[in-house]
Amino acid sequence: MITTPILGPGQVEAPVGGIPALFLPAADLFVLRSRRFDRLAPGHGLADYLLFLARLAEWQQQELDSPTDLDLPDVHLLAQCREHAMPPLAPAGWPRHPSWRDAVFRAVDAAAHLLPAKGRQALTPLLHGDFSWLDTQAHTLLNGPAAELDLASAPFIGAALQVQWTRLARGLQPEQLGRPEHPAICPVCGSPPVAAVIRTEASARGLRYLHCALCGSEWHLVRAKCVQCDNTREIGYYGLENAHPAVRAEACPECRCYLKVLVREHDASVDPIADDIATLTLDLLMEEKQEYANIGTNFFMM
Amino acid sequence: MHINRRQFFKVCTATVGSSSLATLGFSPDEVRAEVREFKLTRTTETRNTCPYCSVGCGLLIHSLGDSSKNAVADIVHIEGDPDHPVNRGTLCPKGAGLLDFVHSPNRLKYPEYRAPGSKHWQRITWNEAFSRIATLMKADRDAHFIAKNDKGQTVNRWLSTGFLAASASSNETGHLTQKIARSLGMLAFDNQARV
Repeated sequence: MITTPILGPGQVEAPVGGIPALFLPAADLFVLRSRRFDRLAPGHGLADYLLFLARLAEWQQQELDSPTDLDLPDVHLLAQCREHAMPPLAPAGWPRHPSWRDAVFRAVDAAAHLLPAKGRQALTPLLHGDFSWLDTQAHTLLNGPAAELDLASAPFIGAALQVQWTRLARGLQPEQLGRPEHPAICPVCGSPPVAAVIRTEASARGLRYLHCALCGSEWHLVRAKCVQCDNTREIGYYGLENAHPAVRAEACPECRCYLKVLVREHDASVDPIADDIATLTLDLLMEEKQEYANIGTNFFMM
Repeated sequence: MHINRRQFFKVCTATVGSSSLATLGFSPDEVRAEVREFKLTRTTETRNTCPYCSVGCGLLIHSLGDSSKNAVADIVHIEGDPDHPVNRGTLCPKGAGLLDFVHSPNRLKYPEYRAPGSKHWQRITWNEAFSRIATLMKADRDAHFIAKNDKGQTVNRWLSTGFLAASASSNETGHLTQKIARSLGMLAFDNQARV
């Protein structure tokens, strides 16, 4: 006689657990970004720039896939950071591995041929700068002040730093990290977010995660709440009429700031960095017509 | 206001011409032109609690219109609040139909009164409704209040009127409802949350 086993709880579908606090960057982060840039480019007002960034992101994936010997903070430092809710990979406290400087030049080799002549000329300071100039620029990109930033080299330096920090972040486990008090700070590296993503997979369906501008980690933040000042009243969601339906600017009338929110349910392939640049028109309208300031940081739109 | 370094790097219509995009030789002209072509749309998201039962599911209510500008607000979408610990974004079939409940032409929006024996409901004001309820409650309590039982013990009961309270109430509302019903001596006291 054949007996049918009775299904126990969780056998059909995992029971609803807690809200995942943190998603560390995925192995295919940059290749998906590259494809997203490619998909956004046709017919776009910034098509050439998007194609250039697609190539740059493709290079970032190649770098991420190649073996290196980056050291992670030791377990004691990680435990201490977790206990005091400090981001262990914050650039101010975690020195850049010198390999990032060679990576910048590989980035230029990979993508500079897609630049207009004027753009290739603008790379002169980068190509002739010594290591200390490069380090100063990296520091300025991560900490300011903006006036001293070489705008032409920022995307290349940013791309190389992203690869290094993404690689480091991928070496960690979510439970090794604490949660900084301020919601606009990455728990892994302390950097500001680019934009937020509303995810669709079962464990995080409908939840809002902020995407780190530097290491690509995503941390949870309650929806319909200002990232900057915790206000929950009259939060406005601004979008472009009949364009980019998956991208909205979440704006707080209290502190006059906004951060873009990408809804994966509307478009599964949205990428925080690519879609942020493709919706530059939304930024210009928000700042011009509504006098809101963006609190996101994107190394490719400085 | 917390100022982060992004404020200093802010790309706007005036500075997009000197951004990294333009410095690398790409033209922002088409995007500048789009600023004149595109219109902004605006919605808001507001948290609330489902009115139906004792589970008390969290809701996110999406609406059009700007109340600060006296524009007419219109609810366009209601979803379960994914951050709410009770329902984690899910809703039962009744909760999932809330948008139709909100926009239903049969929805009761003001107090109505049907006189004994009459077939017709007539609209009355909130003041009329409250006064009528209070007058009838007082008349019934005066007529049927039991101060002492057969043994002469003080009981202060009012058994001829009952109270059914709403489920989507806050703790404070629940506390006040309890105080009012019990201080009147009412024993038949229940909540929609049990239904």
